[in-house]
Amino acid sequence: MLKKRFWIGWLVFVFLMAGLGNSAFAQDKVYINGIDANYPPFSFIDKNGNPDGLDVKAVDWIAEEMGFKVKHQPTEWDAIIPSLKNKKIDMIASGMTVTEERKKEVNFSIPYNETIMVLVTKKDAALTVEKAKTKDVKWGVQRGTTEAKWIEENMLQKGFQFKLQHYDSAPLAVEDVINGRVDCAAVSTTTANEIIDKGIPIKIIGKYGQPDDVVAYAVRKEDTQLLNILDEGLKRLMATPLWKELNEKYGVKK
Amino acid sequence: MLRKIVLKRALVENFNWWSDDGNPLALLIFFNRNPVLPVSDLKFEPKQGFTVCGLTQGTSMIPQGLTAIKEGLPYLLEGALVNIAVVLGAMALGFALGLPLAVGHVYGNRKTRSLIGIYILFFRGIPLLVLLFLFYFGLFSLSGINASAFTVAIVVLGLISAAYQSQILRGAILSLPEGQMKAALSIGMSKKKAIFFVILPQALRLSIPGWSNEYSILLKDSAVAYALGVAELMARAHHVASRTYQHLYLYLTAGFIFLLLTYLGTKGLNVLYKKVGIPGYLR
Amino acid sequence: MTMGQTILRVENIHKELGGKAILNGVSLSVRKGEIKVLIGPSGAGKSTFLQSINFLVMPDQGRVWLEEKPINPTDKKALYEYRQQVGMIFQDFNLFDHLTALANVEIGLIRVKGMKKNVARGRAMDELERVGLKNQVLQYPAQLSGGQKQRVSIARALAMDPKVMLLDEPTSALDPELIGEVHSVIRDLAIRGMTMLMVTHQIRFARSLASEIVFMENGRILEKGPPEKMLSDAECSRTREFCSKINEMSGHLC
Repeated sequence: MLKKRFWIGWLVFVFLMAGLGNSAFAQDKVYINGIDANYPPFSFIDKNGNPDGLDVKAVDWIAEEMGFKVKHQPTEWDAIIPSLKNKKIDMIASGMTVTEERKKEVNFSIPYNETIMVLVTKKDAALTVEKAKTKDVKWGVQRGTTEAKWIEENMLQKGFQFKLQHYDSAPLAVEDVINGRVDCAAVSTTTANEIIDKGIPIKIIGKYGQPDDVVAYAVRKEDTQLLNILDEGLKRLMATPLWKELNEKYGVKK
Repeated sequence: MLRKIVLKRALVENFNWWSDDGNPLALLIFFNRNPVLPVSDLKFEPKQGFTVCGLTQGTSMIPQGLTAIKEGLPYLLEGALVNIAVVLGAMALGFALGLPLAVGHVYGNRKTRSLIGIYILFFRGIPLLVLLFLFYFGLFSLSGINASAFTVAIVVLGLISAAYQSQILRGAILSLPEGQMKAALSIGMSKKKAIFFVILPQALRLSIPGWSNEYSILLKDSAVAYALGVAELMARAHHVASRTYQHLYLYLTAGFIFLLLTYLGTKGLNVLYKKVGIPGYLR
Repeated sequence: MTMGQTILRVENIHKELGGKAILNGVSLSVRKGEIKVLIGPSGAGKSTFLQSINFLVMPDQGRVWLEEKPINPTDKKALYEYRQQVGMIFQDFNLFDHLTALANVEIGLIRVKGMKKNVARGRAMDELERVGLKNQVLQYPAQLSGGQKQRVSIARALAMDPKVMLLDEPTSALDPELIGEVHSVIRDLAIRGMTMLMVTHQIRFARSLASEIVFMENGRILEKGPPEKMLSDAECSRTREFCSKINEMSGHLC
């Protein structure tokens, strides 16, 4: 009797592994878009559990227009470029800022938005940007982002003495601002405005010095064909009134 | 009657938020069971200095918190299914591998035993997170197999579980009286037959309480798969929290679901233990 | 009882355990239908000797013949065959705790002899009936008394059709009231002509059954002879010493 159960257990395991193995073998070529599922308004999960956001909807439109299938895959942000290079995902459309360093690893499409980095604090805080740069102030930032890197290289290493705390996502960093664990957080204006629109009691106190940047889609260096398709699709999308609608819907202000 | 009025007033003063037409919405929730409130209709002013678990606006965001939970619940529960799938897969792999490891560890020759010892040291000695990343970004990529994070999570957790399960089973085997093997051999059974028909049936039953422990550990460890991007319960709680900013409520809910799963699982194993128990023994 | 051929011959068994010599060259032979009883103080090596006959303990030196055929313990298959023909009864019964009495007796028939399940069941039922346990066949060992357990173990050994039975203190672990039922089963076996080699402290019983009494001490056989001689008129002083002790304990035997 126990022997039978043993074999059943084995079979279950074998089938499970076989079923999982399927994930390794692509059936129809579906491009996988790696997204940070915690980065509204560019990419997030809606109340029904489906990926949503400006980038998600834009890529869906481009896919239909240019004739390919796409699937959006939540991926850990600080491992997203290795995931792309290891072919676990095929593209990154998730509010990704273009930097010289990243250009060495991946190719970027044409830009579709700006990134303006600012500091946010609690609505009733008296902190100014100047005061924020002093010792004993705590900043929060999302791990693996351009802002995290920029602050490290251009501020902390250049003598500023405030403390920098890393978080798995931008919303978590802002959450800790509200909790009071950090005094301010470095996020993009898009993120900040989206949060304020939701009614969360924070305010923007100003830029801290990081130059403005642009966002674009990223693909592997060797995927020139995909890059061309995305560029073309993006161009077409930006020429339609839908683009403006999408931007308004997701509260993305230029 | 008077008490009710006083209570109502106290609640209104404490919660201190209202919609545009001035109705104390707290009362709607608590007394009339008004369900979903659109988030944008609410303005709120947190009570001065009130902090719940570090969240200053905790209390006044209860309806939003509940809304977030209510809307996100199906999504979260789907994530719980992912955790269960990971746990079942890992337990099955752990058992399939752990059984031969245990038998080899008890009955094998010196070389076998030291090899098994190395395996166990490796998988018990390296932190789960390190192993997950090692396998996901390292080994699987090197070998060319493109495995999903889900598969890697099951494989790694399974390999670790095998190490622990082999020790559970080994302990059970060693706890059996020496005479069981002797008697089996004395009627002409080979060692293999003795292990399969006499030792293991008893040792496996004795291992069930240990599996109960292993199950709850695996369930908790499955949340770590979040680091690979597996869309399980923990990751999904984060997704919903990022959209709604109701971190406290969502993580509480996730925690509660984990608790429930642990309870049900260990209860189930307990039932199994009683069912296959050998009559007469108070085991 | 006609004295037949030598069923079991054991020559020069040596065994060292933990640096101590347990068996120092023990030799013995048993003819068909004979019942030899081994007596001696604890630590004499009686149990070890019995277990080295069926190679549960592997002797350092020595040889064994069953029906004049030498047994080679390194030949696994031959060893397993041989063990079926040498039934062993343990002091601690050693029943398979996870099986009913019936299953305990059946298992050897099904898994070792390869009998079909229904045939094995019939045979097992017969054996259990013969030891007087018809009504206990579906009980588990934990539900049986010591005497019943020992009788099941006898049935289990008998089901394999052994040529000789080795009994290692079969009643030492039993309460006095239960000894009788096991003794009557053993007596029954003797009447049916089973060749037996038994270790026991039950001198009265030994005397009534034994063809020969063998006295062991310190891993050596000191003396052997028919019961009347050994137990009353022993030559070896040590044997006499031992017997006088037994005398004191059990009264009028030696």
